[in-house]
Amino acid sequence: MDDGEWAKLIAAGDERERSRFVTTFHGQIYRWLRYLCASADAAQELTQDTFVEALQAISRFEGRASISTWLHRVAYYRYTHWLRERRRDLQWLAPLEAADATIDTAGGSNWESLCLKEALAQLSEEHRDTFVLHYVQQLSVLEVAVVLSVPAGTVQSRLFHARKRLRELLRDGLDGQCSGRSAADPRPNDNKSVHEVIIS
Amino acid sequence: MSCERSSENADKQTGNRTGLLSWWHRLRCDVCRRTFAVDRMIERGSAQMRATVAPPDSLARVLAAVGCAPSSQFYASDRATREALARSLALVGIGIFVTALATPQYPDSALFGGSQFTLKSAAGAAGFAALLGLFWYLKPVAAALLEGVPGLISYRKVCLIASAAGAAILWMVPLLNGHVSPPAAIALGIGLNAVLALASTILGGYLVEQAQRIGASGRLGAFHQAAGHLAGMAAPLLGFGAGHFVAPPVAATLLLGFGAVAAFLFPGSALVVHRPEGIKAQLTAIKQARELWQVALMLVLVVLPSNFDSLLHSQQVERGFTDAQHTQLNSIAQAATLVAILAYSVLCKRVRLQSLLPAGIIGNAVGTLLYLGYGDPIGFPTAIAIEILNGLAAALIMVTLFDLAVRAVPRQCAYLGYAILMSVHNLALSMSNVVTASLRLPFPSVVMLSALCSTFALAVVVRLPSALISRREGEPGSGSLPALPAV
Repeated sequence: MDDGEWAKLIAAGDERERSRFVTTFHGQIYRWLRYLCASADAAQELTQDTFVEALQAISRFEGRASISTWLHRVAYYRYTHWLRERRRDLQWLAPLEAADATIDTAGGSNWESLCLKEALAQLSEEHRDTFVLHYVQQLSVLEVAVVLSVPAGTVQSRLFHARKRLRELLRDGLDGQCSGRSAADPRPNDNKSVHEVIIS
Repeated sequence: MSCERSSENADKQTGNRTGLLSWWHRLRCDVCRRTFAVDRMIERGSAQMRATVAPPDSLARVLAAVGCAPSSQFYASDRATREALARSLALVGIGIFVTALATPQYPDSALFGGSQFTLKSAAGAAGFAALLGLFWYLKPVAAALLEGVPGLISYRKVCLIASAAGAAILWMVPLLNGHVSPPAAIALGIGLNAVLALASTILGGYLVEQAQRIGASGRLGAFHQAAGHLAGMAAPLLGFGAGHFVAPPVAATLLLGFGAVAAFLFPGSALVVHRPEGIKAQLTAIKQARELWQVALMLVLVVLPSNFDSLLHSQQVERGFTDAQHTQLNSIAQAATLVAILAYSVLCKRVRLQSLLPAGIIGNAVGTLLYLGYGDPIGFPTAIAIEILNGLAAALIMVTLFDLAVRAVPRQCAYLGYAILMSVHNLALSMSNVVTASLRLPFPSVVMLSALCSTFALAVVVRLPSALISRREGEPGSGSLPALPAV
């Protein structure tokens, strides 16, 4: 059964296929939104909204991309909408921003992931999103291009610059400037100080 | 501070570092060493970020929000997983059993039963067996062909059925001709190995795809091994032993039966694999997949010193064991192997690979040392005890390595990645037999050298990424750890 046939079954209201659809992609979409939002509650809410919207719109799925890519696109649309609303609200609630916009430690407190998250937080939004879609969500360049609605060349360029910048930032981390590790201790540690790093 | 060879300055993708020259350069160049460390941090950090899991009640809440019964998550996930696992186990189990059974091996195959094939020296026999299995070392070529010819990968099912049918026809040649000359038998043997290696490559890639999708690398890897050993036990019973000409019709029937099973069970051509990356991108991804090469190295370090079958056979003959006793010892070792594999399919859900791997390597070395018993006159019961204990120990490490191999193959490179690892394994196995048979050393020295060398793999275990070996089977984050793909 290819994605197009599966989408038709889901659109026809087959409960088993709807459950399978949600069960198959739930973890992947939650993980991505959790990273984008940096908040477990917001990620849960957006994951829910994404699947509700996707199931309503699945009859319009044309099969030009895989169903996973299409779902990422829906999730990204929900996220940008949420972000716009949140930014508007934060104009009036500025003091809350600092408290909320922290890098969460989802994905474990391993030294490498903490340093990588800290470095990613210093990239521009578009570079960060592209990098996470490609390396963490494991979407191909073409799939990332579909999700972000940009040409594949732009994705390649963003990935190149994101990697270049990450190398610079993480090289500093290797010199002991990464919060996940002290300069004196070359081994990864479980210091949780990076929990409080603020997104710039 | 800069370096012209730094992958960053060379405007290259991370991971351009696998060559020996790059490694040598990195030893001396601080800039490149630091770039390498940073790239590794990015890879590992990304892998750790992939391990993020949703809260336990999250899925139930989403299902409720979309109007599905909360209990349907168990129905959908468990049932779908069970169905996929059952289908994969059936297809891989039957496929590996039949292909292993139909593979002509020297000296135990019906094709090489005549006295004209009797090679006196252990080294000669090992060399002939290694030559016969040539295509089992060239599995990556088959995988590259499948992935490289546009659209061919969508017709894996057709290729699998054609391979089975081709092998069935080749097996019938001796029966139709009545007599097979030695050169014709060798050509038949190599031809059969070529078509069966193709079928095995397809089955291996399918196994990896399914194992990574449903998170069952340990169970599927164990089943793969068990089916192969079961074939080894069944071969003499089904008349595949040297000199028995019952084998051709049995092999042809089994192969055609397997073709029918594959036609029924294998996903059809409609299920086109989504492959935005071509063969070049896959090769790049594989080149950069550090963990895949680490596993390949481990396979070499464990397998290369451990196979001294030809030498052992000579030693058994020297100690006065008959051919019947030799066959019995082989069957006992296979049975012990099966027990260890079955135990592993339970063990892999409870114990992490990071504990199983060192335990398996040390156990394998100790099991090998038991063959020191052949240094002096030895009774048949003692030989049985050695085969049982060594069978258990050797199987445990092999099945653990197969589990690791399935996990280490990058996504979207299932066929090519697994074919490379299996070819490395097959080549190491054959070369091991040739090398140990050619050594001008007393048997106990070969045994001690073998046990010692196999422990070198411990040095690789400590360098494996924790994301690869810190999970038990079925825990979140199952699947591969791909290298950073080409951009």
